[in-house]
Amino acid sequence: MSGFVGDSLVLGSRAMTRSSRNPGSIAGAIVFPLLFFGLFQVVMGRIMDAQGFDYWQLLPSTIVVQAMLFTGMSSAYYVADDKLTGITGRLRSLPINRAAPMMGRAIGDLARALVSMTVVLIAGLLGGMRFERGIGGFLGFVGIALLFAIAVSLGMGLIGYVAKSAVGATSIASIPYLPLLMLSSGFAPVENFPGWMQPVVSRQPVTATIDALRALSGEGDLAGPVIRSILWSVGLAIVFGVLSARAMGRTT
Amino acid sequence: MTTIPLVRHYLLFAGRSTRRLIRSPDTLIATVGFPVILLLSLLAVFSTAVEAFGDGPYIQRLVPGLLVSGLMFGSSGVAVGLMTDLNAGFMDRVRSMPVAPSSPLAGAAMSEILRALIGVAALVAVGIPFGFRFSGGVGAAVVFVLIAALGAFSFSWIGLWFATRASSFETLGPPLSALFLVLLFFSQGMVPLDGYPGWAQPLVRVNPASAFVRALTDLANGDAAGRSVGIAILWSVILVAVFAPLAARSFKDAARR
Repeated sequence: MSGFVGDSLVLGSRAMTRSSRNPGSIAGAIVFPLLFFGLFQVVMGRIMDAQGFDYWQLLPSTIVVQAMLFTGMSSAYYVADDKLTGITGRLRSLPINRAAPMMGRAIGDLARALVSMTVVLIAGLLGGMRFERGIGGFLGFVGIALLFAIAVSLGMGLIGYVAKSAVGATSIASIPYLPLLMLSSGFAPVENFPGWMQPVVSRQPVTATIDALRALSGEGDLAGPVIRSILWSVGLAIVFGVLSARAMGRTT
Repeated sequence: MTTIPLVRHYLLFAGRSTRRLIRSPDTLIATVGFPVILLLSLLAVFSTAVEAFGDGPYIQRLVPGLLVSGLMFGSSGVAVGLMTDLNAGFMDRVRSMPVAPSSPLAGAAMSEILRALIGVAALVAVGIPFGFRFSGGVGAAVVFVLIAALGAFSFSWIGLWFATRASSFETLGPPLSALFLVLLFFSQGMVPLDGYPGWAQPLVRVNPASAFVRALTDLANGDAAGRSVGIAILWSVILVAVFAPLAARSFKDAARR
């Protein structure tokens, strides 16, 4: 474990500095989540309210999950950039802890995720969203969202290892993002989907996490959605984490 | 410079942009794949709610809406292409050759038309099994395609202007995407006008993307389309009249950098 903490912090602060200086990351972490929030709220709010689907209360959970997906897409960009510019190979030749580069990346990803979530929740609270379960529910909300962010970043990061350019990594990462987010409980209730699609929509990981965030901020059954989300996020994080460690080991 | 060589130069550059389009899988995915995935997703997510709100079949609104979305986001693709050329020094090379200085821009805008036609074909082909219909007959369908092509040409000048002004890809893509997202969401391509809050409705009415969505929707539905088609054509003239000179002027500076 020698140097694990120190090395991770050094690489983590590098990741944060880099994000804060990259217009693309700032747009992905702050501007686009707010933009999507505002657009869906204005354009779909009235129509969904008419369906009894309270958008001000329910949409922030969706946008937080969308922001976590953006965090993962940025991660794919940085992994590809580091690999292609030779940083990943260089770090491997340095006398630093072997796990530190991965931890450094995780620190950068979590920092972006926290900034995004803060911005979205402030907008949501201003619009009328409420945390009905108080501080406990709020902390659970943050925890579930960050756990999901870790799983997504590890998964999308894998794309970074195979992409031929950093911009290409972002466009490949946007392919799973769109159907996962749209075909979830995020924008309309599952019963609104065509019947044959409902089993898929109700069982996929993005739906599990959005439902957990809504349960933590609102009312109703809590244990079921939260457990489903944790199982998905932890399971995906383990699978993607093992694959990432391998991909990293092969990068020269 | 007489007119004949000018047209020839434009076509030459349009041919180059077209070959680049056909040979680049990324652009084709963005032209065909992305709008089709978005069409199917939005249809699955929102058709129940929008139809319950009292609108007709959602597919008749979504196909025109996503066509307009596709031709706006295609403009981002053209912008990236121009920026790539500027960074690679290709434009310096062009400046040293005996071609009209406006050729690279005009050629890029013209090649957008082909990309838009591919987009029309894809969205209509996917829309038909989900109930999309041309109720206005062959004439209206032909005008539908022409309006889409005109829109692609006109919107591409916004992207070209951005590309000549931006300093890097990172300051080019996000602002353009943000602009087109706002235009798309406020365009009646997703929900009917009375679905918007009262304060937003005037904005939706004056949005140029709305003008194209309305014209295409009227043509597809077989409604009286004279007025909405006229307004879309008027918007095309305005977009080109404003953004083509802006793009041409800053292009001269950008190519000289």
